[in-house]
Amino acid sequence: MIDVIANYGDEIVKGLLGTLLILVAGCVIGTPIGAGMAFLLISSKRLLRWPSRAYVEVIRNTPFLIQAMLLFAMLGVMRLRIDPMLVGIAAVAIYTAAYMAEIVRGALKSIPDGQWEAANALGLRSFRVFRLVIFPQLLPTALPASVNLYGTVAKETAFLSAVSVAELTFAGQVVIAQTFKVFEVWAIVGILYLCLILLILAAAKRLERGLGWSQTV
Amino acid sequence: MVNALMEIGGIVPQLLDGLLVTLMICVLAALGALLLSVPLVAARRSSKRRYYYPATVFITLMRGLPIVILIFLCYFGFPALLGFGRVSAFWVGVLVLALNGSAFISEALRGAIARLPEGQWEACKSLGLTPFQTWRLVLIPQFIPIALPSLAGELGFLIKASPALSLITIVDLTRRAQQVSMQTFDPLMPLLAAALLYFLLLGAISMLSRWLETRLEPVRQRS
Repeated sequence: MIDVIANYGDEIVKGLLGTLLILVAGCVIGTPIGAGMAFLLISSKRLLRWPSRAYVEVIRNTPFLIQAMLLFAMLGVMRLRIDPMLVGIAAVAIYTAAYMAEIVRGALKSIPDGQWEAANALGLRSFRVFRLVIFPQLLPTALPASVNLYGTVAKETAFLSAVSVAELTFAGQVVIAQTFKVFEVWAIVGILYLCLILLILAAAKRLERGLGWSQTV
Repeated sequence: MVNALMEIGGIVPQLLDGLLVTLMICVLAALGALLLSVPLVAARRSSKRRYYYPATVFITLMRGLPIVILIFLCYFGFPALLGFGRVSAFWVGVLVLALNGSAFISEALRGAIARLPEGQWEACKSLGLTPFQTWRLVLIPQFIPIALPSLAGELGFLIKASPALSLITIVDLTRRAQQVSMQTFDPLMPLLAAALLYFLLLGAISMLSRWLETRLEPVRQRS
């Protein structure tokens, strides 16, 4: 195990950085898109509600691997040559946005309609209503849930190795092809994933406790 | 558009044996997960450390490792370490999905048990019921409606994780779609057909879960 780390450590670290890049970039892009989409999901206009609902349902009811493979196939059919890393980020963003939209929609639904009306009656304009009244109440439920989602997304990124995106699992496969040290490499890669994901899940738990103040009301 | 739909419809029959393999794996894994989750819940609720700690470590491992890595570890890693030679990809796949599922199901069950009011234990005790009778007559009938929707949700997660098995040579729905894709030199349509089948399957399960949730609501409010 030591010699694998000594000789191929930088290969594996590069893979880890790839996973981190995909995860962070995908979530940073996907989160605001998803949060915005939540407002389409609760819109009273069907023209806005139905397409967003269709998107969310399609993404949430298909496996991530199939989505990633489809994305690569579609780009291939269109004869677009894009860095696989960017496609991986796009796949993660598409996935994150759909789940994020459901999280934010759920949080929005838990806020009574009367608050919008009350804030309007106080003379606040709709954006300020959102910023001052609604948004602070979304955080205690939506923030831990989205960090949990990022943990799930981190696990899903391992699927991207199957479409040859240069991330941690792919780096593991490359090192195994050169060393045949099957167990050692998967153990090292597994430990790295474990640290990353448990860290994210611990952060989610922490947020759940730390922001619990308004849930007890 | 119509042409594309016709084409996808034409591919679906070629994917059915893959769908069957996916279904078989998921049903076996779900049953295995359900069986494994019972001792796990018991261990997690136990006050004895020698039960509680191993169960907690196991659940933490399952929550923190990607299913792909678990599959690779169990199919390639451990057999190489222990010198087993070749192991059956199918059964390793079922085992890994069952182990993974059991951790999540046991957490869901534990959550459902935690929602049962504390006083019922004491009430049953004072009525002279044995722990087994308490579970069978009082707790389980209340507990099943609470747990069922989340169990249906876990089945959905299992199906969404199952394409990981296509990475260890199992010809499930995902891999079957890739095979058809290679045979017909069509990179897109077989994948779309597979996505459609997954969507119908998972959509049916999430509808079932939602139906269970609304249908069982009154029971939940009473408890």
